[in-house]
Amino acid sequence: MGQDSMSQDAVWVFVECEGGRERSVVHELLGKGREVADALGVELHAILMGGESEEVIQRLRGHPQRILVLENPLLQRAGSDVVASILSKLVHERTPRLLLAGSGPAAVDILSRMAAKLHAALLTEVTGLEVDASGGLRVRRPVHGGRAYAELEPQCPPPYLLAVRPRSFPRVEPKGDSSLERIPVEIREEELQLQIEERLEAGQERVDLTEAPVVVSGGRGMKGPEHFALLEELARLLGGAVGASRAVVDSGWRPPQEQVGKSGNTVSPDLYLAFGISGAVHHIMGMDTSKYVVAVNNDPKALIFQYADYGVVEDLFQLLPPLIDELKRSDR
Amino acid sequence: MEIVVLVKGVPDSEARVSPTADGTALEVEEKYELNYFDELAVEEALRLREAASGGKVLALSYGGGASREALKKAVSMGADEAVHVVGPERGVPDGLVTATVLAACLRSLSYDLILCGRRASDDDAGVVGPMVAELLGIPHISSVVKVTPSQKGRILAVRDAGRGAKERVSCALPLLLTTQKGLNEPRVPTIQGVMKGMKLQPRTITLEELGLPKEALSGRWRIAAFREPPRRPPVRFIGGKDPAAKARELARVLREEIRILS
Repeated sequence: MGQDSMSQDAVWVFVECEGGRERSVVHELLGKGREVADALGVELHAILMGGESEEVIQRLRGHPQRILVLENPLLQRAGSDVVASILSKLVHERTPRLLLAGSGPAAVDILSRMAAKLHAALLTEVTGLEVDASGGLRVRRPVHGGRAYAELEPQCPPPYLLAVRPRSFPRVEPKGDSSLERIPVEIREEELQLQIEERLEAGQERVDLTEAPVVVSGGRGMKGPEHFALLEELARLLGGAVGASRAVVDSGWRPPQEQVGKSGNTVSPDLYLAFGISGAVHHIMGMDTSKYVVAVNNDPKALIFQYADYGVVEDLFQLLPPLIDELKRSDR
Repeated sequence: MEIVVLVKGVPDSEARVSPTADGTALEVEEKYELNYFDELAVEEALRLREAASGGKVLALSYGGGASREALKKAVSMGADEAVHVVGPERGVPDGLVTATVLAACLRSLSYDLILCGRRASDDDAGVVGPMVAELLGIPHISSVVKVTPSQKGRILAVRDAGRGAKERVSCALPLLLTTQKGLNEPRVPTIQGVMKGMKLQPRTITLEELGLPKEALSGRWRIAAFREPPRRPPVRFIGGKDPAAKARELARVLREEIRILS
């Protein structure tokens, strides 16, 4: 099979699926991948694990020149070690220049193992990517919880593996068409060392905190778990997810996966609403890259106002009910 | 069971961090603490040792002075041994170098289980754990929130699978686990523990002793520049005569200025 030079130095986007759907970051990566591939004069390929629905493939069509579908029924049960080994082999054979994935636990596991296998350059939590006139890459990522940003350049041969933080790049509408290539891969049953005994889904369909366009967070000022229903309603009206401060999670009012901050999630939604959150550094580290921050606190000296675009000094229990009513009115 | 915990010293969250004026370096105030997720890993190792009423917990770190602080804390909590692979104060920005050094050292140690935090708060990369597992050719389970040893040399773990979902996973030893919040409440060291930590003379290993080729220690990325984070304009307070008026104005801001419902 003839691999032309454009296809050899291609930009790859890893299509990570959850619950039968591609993560929304995939569409951001395809948009950025297209731009980078054009700048480098190479092709953009999307690569996904077979067994996902044809609808996923349909939604990818248009951005990449080619969609590579890896096929083996065991892939659905394969751990990051097996997936990394399959992808590494393919990278070795086809020599893409760049592999983009969405930063998140599963993709970071896979890319870390690939980097170790291929001795390749890997960066995670990437928030910026530029190509200069000579085709050199410059990658931007936050360090120390966003208290500074590092700009890095590779000083080794490709491939370069980048896990990009969701919501770093805009979603771009696809154009054109893609060819489809199905690639059978070999997996031996004994390679599957991890046994997934059971998957316990969250009670309801949840919006992923790191991918949500709006995050409505509550702190100690919420005074108790029962009052989070107000934030849930607000989040629902705004199409967002509920977050929480460390104090709230440590008190057991909300589950740990909702925590925003140093020991929890890092989020960069279009809008971050902070209710009754004082603004300790460890919290700021998890939300400072949000596009707009609105803080509501009854203490005008609360630190959170230093990190907010808009502030409301008010008792949140007085403000939330009329705010919810107002938004319900504007919702229709 | 022999357990090795990989620990890292990180600047505490109040430490001042700022790029130098020319952007070539980062000034970091030297106030170090054991990385939060690694503290969970140390705690879990101690609990597993206590539950099995036997075994050994060894803390391993690669780096400069920050590593010594991390090892002190691990020993003050109750780790039996500490090994310090002496490296530069400021490492290269490449987790694979760290993982290569740690894996080289681990090959000379005996272990059934390796534990480490799911990420460190300074680089926030989350790559070293799975890289070490890959280099040693062992499986790993990331972001575990519950660990139960079972018979026949297996570990049963519950991992945070994202979006509020959890997975029960089992795997044979040897194995590497990365730890996630919710796994445990790390203990506060006793006074005797603190004394033990203060007196700690960790076993030191040099990079030469590990016999790694020079190229294994050179990073694959170079820092082109450090930048200040983008600053927000000063906060604009939303006023109003009563909460209802403020709510109306806030709803207008959300609709018309932030354009969230359009």
